[in-house]
Amino acid sequence: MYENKDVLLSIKDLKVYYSTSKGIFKNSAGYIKAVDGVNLNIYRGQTLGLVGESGCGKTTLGKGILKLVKPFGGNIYFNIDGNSHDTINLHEKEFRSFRKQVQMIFQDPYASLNPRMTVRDIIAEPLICLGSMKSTNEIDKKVYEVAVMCNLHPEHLSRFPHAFSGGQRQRIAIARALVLNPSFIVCDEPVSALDVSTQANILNLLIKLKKDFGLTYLFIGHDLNVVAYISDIVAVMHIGKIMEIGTTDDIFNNPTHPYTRLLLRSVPDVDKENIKKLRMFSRAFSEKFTNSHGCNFRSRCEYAKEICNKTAPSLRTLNSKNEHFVACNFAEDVIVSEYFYKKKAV
Amino acid sequence: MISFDSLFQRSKRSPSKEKDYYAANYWQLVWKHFLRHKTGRLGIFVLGFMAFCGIFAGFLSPVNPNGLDSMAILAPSQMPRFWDSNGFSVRPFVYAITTKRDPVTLRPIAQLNPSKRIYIYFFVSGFKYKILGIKSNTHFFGTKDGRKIHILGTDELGRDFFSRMLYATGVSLSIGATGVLIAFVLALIIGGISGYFGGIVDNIIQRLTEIVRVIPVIPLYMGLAAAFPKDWSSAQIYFAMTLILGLVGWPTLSRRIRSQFLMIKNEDYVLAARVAGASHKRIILRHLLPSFISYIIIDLVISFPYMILSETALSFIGLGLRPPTISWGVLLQSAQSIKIIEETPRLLFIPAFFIFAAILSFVVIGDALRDASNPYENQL
Repeated sequence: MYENKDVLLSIKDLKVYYSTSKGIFKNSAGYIKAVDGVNLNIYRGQTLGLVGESGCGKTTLGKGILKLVKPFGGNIYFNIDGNSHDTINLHEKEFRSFRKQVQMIFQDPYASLNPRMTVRDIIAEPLICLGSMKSTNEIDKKVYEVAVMCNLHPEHLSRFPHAFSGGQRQRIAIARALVLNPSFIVCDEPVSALDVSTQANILNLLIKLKKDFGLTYLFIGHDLNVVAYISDIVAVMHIGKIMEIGTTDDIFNNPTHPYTRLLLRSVPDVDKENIKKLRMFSRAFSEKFTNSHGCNFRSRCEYAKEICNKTAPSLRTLNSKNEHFVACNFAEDVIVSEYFYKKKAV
Repeated sequence: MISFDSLFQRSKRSPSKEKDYYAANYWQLVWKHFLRHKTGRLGIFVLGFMAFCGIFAGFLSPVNPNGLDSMAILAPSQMPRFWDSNGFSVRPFVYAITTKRDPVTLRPIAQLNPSKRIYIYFFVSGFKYKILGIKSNTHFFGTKDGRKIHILGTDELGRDFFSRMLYATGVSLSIGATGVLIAFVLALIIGGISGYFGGIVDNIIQRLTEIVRVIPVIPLYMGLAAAFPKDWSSAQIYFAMTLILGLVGWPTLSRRIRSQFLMIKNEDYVLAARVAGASHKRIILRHLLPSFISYIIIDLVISFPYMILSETALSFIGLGLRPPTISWGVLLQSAQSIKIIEETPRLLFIPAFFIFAAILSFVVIGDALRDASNPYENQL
């Protein structure tokens, strides 16, 4: 899809499994398939929003890209300087040159900043470990520039994280991610730990920085409004698999996967006069489902038929524009079904 | 152009109090919180005092702690005084000791003689000693004519109890400190490897640790201590004792260090450091160790009393340090006879009180440190 555009990062059939162990000798008793064969293309300069309920593998996918968890299989191609590099089997030392290009902003700004280091040291850490600058003065200068760009006051730099509010801490984390001038940033729910007024602040900062530096984001989130606000493309994930992917407009105005519709329907909305009874069944995340054949969503799906138990649907396109992919055997039925929930895309 | 030195406060501290708090590092905050703890302050004071006495035992003691004085067996304490019925003196003095014989048993009885004064002088020369490698014979106080004064009296061989207490304090505290240090280094390496790398390494190390843990401590102490050759010098026995205490003490500590590693290695800021490209060494030294070193210090402080008690117990049953090394346990052991308990109970109660005070101090300091170790949760 989107062949004419510049692919920065291409994920092919990525699998991240966690093994479960039993007994005193920790025998491997099976796998939790956190990410199970994900294919994704991330385009330069775009923001890919990744939504899904908690535990569906969003964060694991983000960590897998950064090699913070060991992938079970698949490939990740980085297009850097016109060449495509497969990074999946690189050792940490060889991966270091990509670390400069790929940074991460974590969910909880209270946990992601070391309380024993000053803000200056926190922001400078990537520079010290990966940067080419050696002199303290150069590093100070760069830290100062980035801090100002992230709306931090210069005098904050000598303080410790305990002196800051959540929003300020998240700006420090953003400054740390930016200090190496990366091309790609994984934002792992960067605003979900913040209160609403600060959320807008951080989102606008992220959008501004994206423009200024030509960044590409993978924006992981569970707040659909936030994801709709910042994303160009949205992917919906459910138990380790991508269920639907398309432009923000397509996903929010024209959802074709039953799970996407379930997600959209479950958003509480003050404007809604008669909130439909939330159709969320109990969470179906278990080994039983991840280790069986067939569609992972079938137990909660109102369209599920016999075929869903046997074959897992793969992503296919429904319209001629080639921009909207869905993994459902009965996507056509979903479209023509009488109830159609429309969510305003912001 | 901005001056980065002043911006990062490398050269000067900001004057405002609030800014001081924001720019205060972890240990400054811990110290601030710790000082608000009254019993903790008291504990630090008591231990500091004991450590001072122990280190400067040679300088502070007026009489050689192993010197025998046959003219003053089980002498009562000669308390320094400034006045008595004969008048006031600016220079402190003690009463001299005269020894009479019991008319029935003919046993020598040392008594104070209020009519004879011995004046105390400061910075006098006396027996030779060594403090931290420096040889000297100057003592804080003593007599000019070489007569011995016994502030806390003497034991059944006429040895000065005050000097013996000072030396014993130093030995007992240092044996505890060395034992804790050996245990700590072992525990840090073993527990650290186990916790940081995890997996099969962790599994093997933990099973081995459990094997060490299930060996009962008292028989092990006794067996090891009994294995000391008789012809070892007291210094050799001293080092062997610290080694035994350390070797027995590490498994518990290593478990705690492992659990800290396990807990903190998955913290977001450690992941963030990995994203920033930090090496294992940098992650361990800059991120992991600083974040749990406070808990480890608390653990060390709390395990200190066990070391001291083990040493005391071993010496008390005669398997630990032997004379002429003096420790609290050795003092207690020599005060076991019914005669001493009946006639001069201070020989038993003073060392017992010191042990009690030292252990209580360690406990309250550990308690205060634990309260202070998380200064970000209850801010000033």
